[in-house]
Amino acid sequence: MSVENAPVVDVDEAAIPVEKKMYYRFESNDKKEFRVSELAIQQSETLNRLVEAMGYTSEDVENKPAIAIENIDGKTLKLVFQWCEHHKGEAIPVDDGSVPKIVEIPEFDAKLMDIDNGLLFKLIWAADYLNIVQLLNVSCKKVANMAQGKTPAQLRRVYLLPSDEEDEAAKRAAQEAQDPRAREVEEEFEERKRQGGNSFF
Amino acid sequence: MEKSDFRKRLFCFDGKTLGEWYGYVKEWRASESQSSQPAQLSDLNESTIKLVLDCLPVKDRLNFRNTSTKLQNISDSHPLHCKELKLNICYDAACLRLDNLELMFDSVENTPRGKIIQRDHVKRALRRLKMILKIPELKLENVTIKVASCVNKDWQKEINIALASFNRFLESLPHKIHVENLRIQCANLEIMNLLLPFIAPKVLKSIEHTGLEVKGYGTTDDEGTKKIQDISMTDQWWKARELRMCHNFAYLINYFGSFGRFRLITLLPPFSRIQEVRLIKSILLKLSPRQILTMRISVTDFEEICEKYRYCMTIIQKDRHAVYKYFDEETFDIGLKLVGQEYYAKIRRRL
Repeated sequence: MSVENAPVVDVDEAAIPVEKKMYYRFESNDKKEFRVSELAIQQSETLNRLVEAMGYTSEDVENKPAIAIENIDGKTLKLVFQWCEHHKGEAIPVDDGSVPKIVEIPEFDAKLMDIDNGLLFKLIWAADYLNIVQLLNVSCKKVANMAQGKTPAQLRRVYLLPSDEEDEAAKRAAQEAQDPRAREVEEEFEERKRQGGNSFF
Repeated sequence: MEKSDFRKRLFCFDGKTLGEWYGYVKEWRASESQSSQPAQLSDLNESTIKLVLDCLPVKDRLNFRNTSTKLQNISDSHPLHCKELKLNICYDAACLRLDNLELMFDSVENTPRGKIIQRDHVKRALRRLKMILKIPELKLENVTIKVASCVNKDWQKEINIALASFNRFLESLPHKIHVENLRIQCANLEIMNLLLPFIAPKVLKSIEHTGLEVKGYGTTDDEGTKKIQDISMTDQWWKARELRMCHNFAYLINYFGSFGRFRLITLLPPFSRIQEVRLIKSILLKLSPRQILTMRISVTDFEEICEKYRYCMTIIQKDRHAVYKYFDEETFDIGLKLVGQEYYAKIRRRL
């Protein structure tokens, strides 16, 4: 996808300072591209460290390929960056160890997380992967709110939790289906690497 | 793209450079990782599920724990902090409360056919308590156990059987129970004696023991002394910092030497005013200089003690306030009535 066609995350224009803002380009695993402000990226410890280590200038951002985030799809990444843009500049909360955790879900976050459970779990996973503490807190709180006042049977339905038997069966099936193929590919890869020598890299 | 097509392209090397082939491998790996994104809660990693657990109140946390073995294992490996565990056993009912989870057990129950059947409420309440205490990472801040005494011998027998079974359970428990403040309300020291050895010693900060009904009950001096002797040998007793005891056990002050703070809880008769003053005096003389005695005492009694023992005591705190009564036993009048003045006093012995 070209830079022009990339989905752009909503930005509050009035909040843009006078000096030129630095943006970074990210690409999801389904090749969707996003432009995210430097301030928004600071909400994610992982991405912040990554861009700092890369040391990109404004020109580099335009000329070099977008930074690939291979584990997250476009739909989830869009939600993540929307959240980051909305909360940019906010302090990152420090865990005070209080239990149960007192987390309030702001109105914007509540609307953003008004999504199906599958996408919500992907959002949590992405927040954990990208180390976005506050997004992880509010999304976990949202999941916890869904559990309130429910019996174990109702919880199984809400969260699509497999029973012990289903869990075992899925584990066995996954082992049977995945292991031989993964092994085969790895073996072929190693073989080709040996034949091709250093030119491969 | 279908996985089988993908596989064909992956293993067809004709006319392909190694770079291209590596590109396919990367693409395939990306598709694999994409499919590993979670679609349900149990697919999330353990640390994230634990974050969800931290946001749940106790009742929901326990329900959550009962959904599957996997979640039970995760939940059991993560601390479950509870502010309060209360068990109240009476002759005809029992109540077990763990923060926002409240369970009631009645001695009689109505069947759907309108029949009334007798149920063993003590056994059922203790069974639930056992289930709660089995949770390995359970962290309890305050534990209150209240057992009502009764003249009925069958009731005493029932309680003794239940406690014997509970003792066997505690002995089989692989971990010590994490309790910060233990409070027992019972006419004798039986439950304290039973429970204390199974509590994590360094965690327990304060111990409180009060009798409920003193008249006609309570421990005789010999029994009480023997039990206190046993209890005072435990690590838990030695490592706790504060002891709160009611007057009818306070004569056992010789065994309270390990506590930094000792609080005397005033009870209703049989203690007369004269007995109470005499007891406080004897406690005062047995206090070690590092101990603090806290009590509520009537103004006149306190002034009498101060006058006589001023040479050997230091008053740390002395707050005077009015005492009100809501119900008058003599006239049966209901309503707040000023009945006197008392001190909340903290004293230390001076050598």
